[in-house]
Amino acid sequence: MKEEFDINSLPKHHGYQVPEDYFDKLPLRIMQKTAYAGPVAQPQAAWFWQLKTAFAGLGLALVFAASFLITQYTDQTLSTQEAMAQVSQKEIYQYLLNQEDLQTADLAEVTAVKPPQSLEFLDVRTEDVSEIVTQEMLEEQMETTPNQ
Amino acid sequence: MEDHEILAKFQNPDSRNLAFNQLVRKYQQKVYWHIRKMVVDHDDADDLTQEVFVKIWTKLETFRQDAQLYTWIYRIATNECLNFLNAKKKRFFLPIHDVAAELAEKLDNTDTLSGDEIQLKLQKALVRLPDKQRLVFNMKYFDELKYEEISEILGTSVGALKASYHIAVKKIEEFLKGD
Repeated sequence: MKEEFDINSLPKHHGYQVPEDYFDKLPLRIMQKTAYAGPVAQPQAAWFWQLKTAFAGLGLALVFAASFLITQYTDQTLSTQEAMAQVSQKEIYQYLLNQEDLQTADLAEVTAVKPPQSLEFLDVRTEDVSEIVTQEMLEEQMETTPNQ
Repeated sequence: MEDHEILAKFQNPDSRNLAFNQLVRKYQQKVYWHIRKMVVDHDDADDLTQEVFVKIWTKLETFRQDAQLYTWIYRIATNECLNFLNAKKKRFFLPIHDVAAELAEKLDNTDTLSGDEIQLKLQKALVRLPDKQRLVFNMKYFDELKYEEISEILGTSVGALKASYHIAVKKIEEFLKGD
């Protein structure tokens, strides 16, 4: 026959043990700790600190809100395009002329530089251009009449 | 000394230390054994018991006297136990079974239990239960608290506590039969 399990048949004592005189010494150890634990919390003081913290938080939130609104209405910072629009073409040329590594290819990408102004921009003498053109024409003639 | 007398003395700065000493003497064993049954190890239980009474010292001024003092103390001790066990699991990334194995190992230490074999078996079965189920079982079976009192301490409905206790008893039965 199957025996019915009865929880109450088990011991009612847990069986753990403590060192000798443990409970005689424990109150003194606890009292020593409470002496260093600081004063007992006063409800009025607790309310005061809670109120103080709440006001501090509110003040901080107001400062953030005010600074946000001020920057929203007074922000006059120009965008890059607006700033570039205020620079004159002459100043752009001057800036580009001062760039030592400037190549002809770079010039092609500068929309501000118009074709008629290219020579001026490159600082090339007219005599040099005429000499190169003449030389190219002579070379072309030599190529077309090789037997002469 | 009655709780209300201790509380009245505690309100007076001149008799505050005396009142608290009386409170410690009155409740130290209940608090210690409540904690010890949960954490098994004496040193852990000793540390936690002291921490519980330091908390009581700092919070007793704000204790609302519409609740019973001993249920309030039990609640603080219970929270300390659960926090301790949860911190232990998190610190070592332990699943519940490993914590149970660690606690069961401590039970085998000859200094831990003075009782007979059936007491050891019962405690080994208990450490395998989830923490809250173990709490309910300990308070009902060993401390012989009423469900209404346990309900006030744990903030759980009486129905849920009855179900929890019933499940705990079934698990203990299975463990003892299978051991």
